[in-house]
Amino acid sequence: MLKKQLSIVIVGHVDHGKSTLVGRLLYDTKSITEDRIEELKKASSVTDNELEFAFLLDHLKEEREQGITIDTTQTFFSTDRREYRIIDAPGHVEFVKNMVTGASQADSAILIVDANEGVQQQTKRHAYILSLLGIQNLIIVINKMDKVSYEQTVYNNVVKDLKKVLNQLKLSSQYFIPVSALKGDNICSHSTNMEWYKEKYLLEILELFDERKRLEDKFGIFSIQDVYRMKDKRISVGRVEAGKISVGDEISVIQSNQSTKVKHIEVFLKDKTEAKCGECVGLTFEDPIFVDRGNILCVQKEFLTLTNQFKASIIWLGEKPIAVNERCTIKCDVQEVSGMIVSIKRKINTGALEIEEEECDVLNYLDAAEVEIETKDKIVLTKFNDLQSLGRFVIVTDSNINAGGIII
Amino acid sequence: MDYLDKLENESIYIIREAYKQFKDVAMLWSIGKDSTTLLWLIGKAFYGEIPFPIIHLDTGFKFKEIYDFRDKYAKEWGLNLITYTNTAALERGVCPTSGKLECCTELKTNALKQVVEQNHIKALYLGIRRDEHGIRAKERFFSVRDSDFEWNYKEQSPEMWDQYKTKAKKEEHFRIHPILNWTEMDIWKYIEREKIPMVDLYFAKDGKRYRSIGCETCCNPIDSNADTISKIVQELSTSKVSERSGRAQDKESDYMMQKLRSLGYM
Repeated sequence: MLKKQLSIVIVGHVDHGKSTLVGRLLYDTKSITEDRIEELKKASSVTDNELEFAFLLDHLKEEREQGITIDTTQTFFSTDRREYRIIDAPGHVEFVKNMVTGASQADSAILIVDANEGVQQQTKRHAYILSLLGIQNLIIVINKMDKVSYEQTVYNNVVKDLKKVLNQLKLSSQYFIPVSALKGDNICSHSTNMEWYKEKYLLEILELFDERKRLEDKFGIFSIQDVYRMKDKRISVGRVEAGKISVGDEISVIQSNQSTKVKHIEVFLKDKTEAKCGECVGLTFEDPIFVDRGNILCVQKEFLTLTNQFKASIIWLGEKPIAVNERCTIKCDVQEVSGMIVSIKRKINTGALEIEEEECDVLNYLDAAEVEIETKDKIVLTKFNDLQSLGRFVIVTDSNINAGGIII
Repeated sequence: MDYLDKLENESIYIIREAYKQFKDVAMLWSIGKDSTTLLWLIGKAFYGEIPFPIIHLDTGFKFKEIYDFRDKYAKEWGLNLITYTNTAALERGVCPTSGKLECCTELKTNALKQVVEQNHIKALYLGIRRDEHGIRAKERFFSVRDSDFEWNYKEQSPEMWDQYKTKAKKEEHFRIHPILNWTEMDIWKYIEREKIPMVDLYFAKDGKRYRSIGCETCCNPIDSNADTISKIVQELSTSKVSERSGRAQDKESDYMMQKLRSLGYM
């Protein structure tokens, strides 16, 4: 029997102990090989520390010497229940792009806060990004309890501040845990240093979470990546984005409003009559319809909107600001269209989570806002809450991904 | 879908995205378990008719078993195989005993530069995995290399929601990493499920087997009695040693792998 996998991103302000927490999880679940522990001991003595758990993840020379994480790292551990993929995201404001990269690949998140320092800029910013990414499972970890003599009142105050932030972002978490990643309190076993904490420890809570739900209950939606001309047929390859697609299904190309039936589902050396959500397969059709890269096919076309104007929440990650009416490229699933932001409303400073301007013309690095976007060609969309894959998009300028957004 | 199906589908999606974007692509096949698995996935993505060349960088120091396996399956699978050797460096006397950093750089990295230039390749599929080495964990699925093949790991584009960096300047090329999220265990379980042929070196003979293969001169076997795939899976689930512990280039110094990779090593 194959185990399931849960991917978790660890986020939070710089130096609040993200990499140390990952190292601790790996160490306590015995997921580190002996030669790595030896390597770690050697590397730790170089900088004159105790066992530096963070070194397990921070592999770049600059990361170890400066004691920071620059780029996101992934690592793995497993329990009897399932496998875990841990994504360690950098906390420095300079590396938010790397944090977004890491967090966008996770089903669940741990937001870590230093008990001593409390809620900081990057705590708020990372919480905002988690809300934008639609991450469903969230655990709040109050770290470095050893530094505050395991005091319950310190913990309670930090939790109170955090709840304010979470409410503002409509993020909810039932789980708040006092821990010391360095000493191992409440990570993989109950701490004897905090008798006042009676709830579950971190690993127990992780084990409760469900893996990301596939949208199998929706109507079948298929996005076309490419069309391959084989000897005797044209195969439209792509991915089932929702529901399932079966041979004989009546299917419409949303962009051209043509309809046909699915003739075959093409998978190399296999017979298949049904493809489920997440599967990458090829389709052939009963009628000679024209399909191409970027087409979205749907069993029930009413579910999706074809439009060239939509509203979205975005975060700007480009070093160069973007102005209203400036040309950019919008990429949503397999679709790519030219477009522009036509209005910017409710600009938020993500570090403070306060609205700075109700209406403005420019978005700077790390600003978030509600925007209205117009595209040259029509694009198939849905609200993010209805279907993530067609409800989220990136903005490309100067051939770089410089923003992520969700349709509201 | 089970977990291996999920990984397989993610990889096929990336393989097809890269081919759609770049067309002038090739795959680097070391004949090891990871790149052979990647080759298998590429075969599936293109229905058995791979529309681009498969490159083997031959350092001249590979195991005989590797050459035999390559020739047998290149023929059986109908591959457009390019084998390439940096003969100029070999003639200059570059070899493992003259210095490992130089040897890897000349016979792998520089050989790769030469073959990419000669064949006008815009993107190269590679079978690296995050769990192999800390520095590889930092990679993106689509990763840009500049004209000197250098990897600017501090300035990587964000990669989210299956959207990858696509356009590059003329002199740059892309590395495509479709199996980045797979672990060593996933690879073996998939090989077992799909019955993918593998080089004999991975299977124990007289109490020894190779866990990671490359040049004969720089690989050490581990003690093992695992002579079947299921025994290898069993062995890995109890192993206390990391995968590349037998690979010399990882061990020279703390940051040799970082240095090698930033210079364009795979």
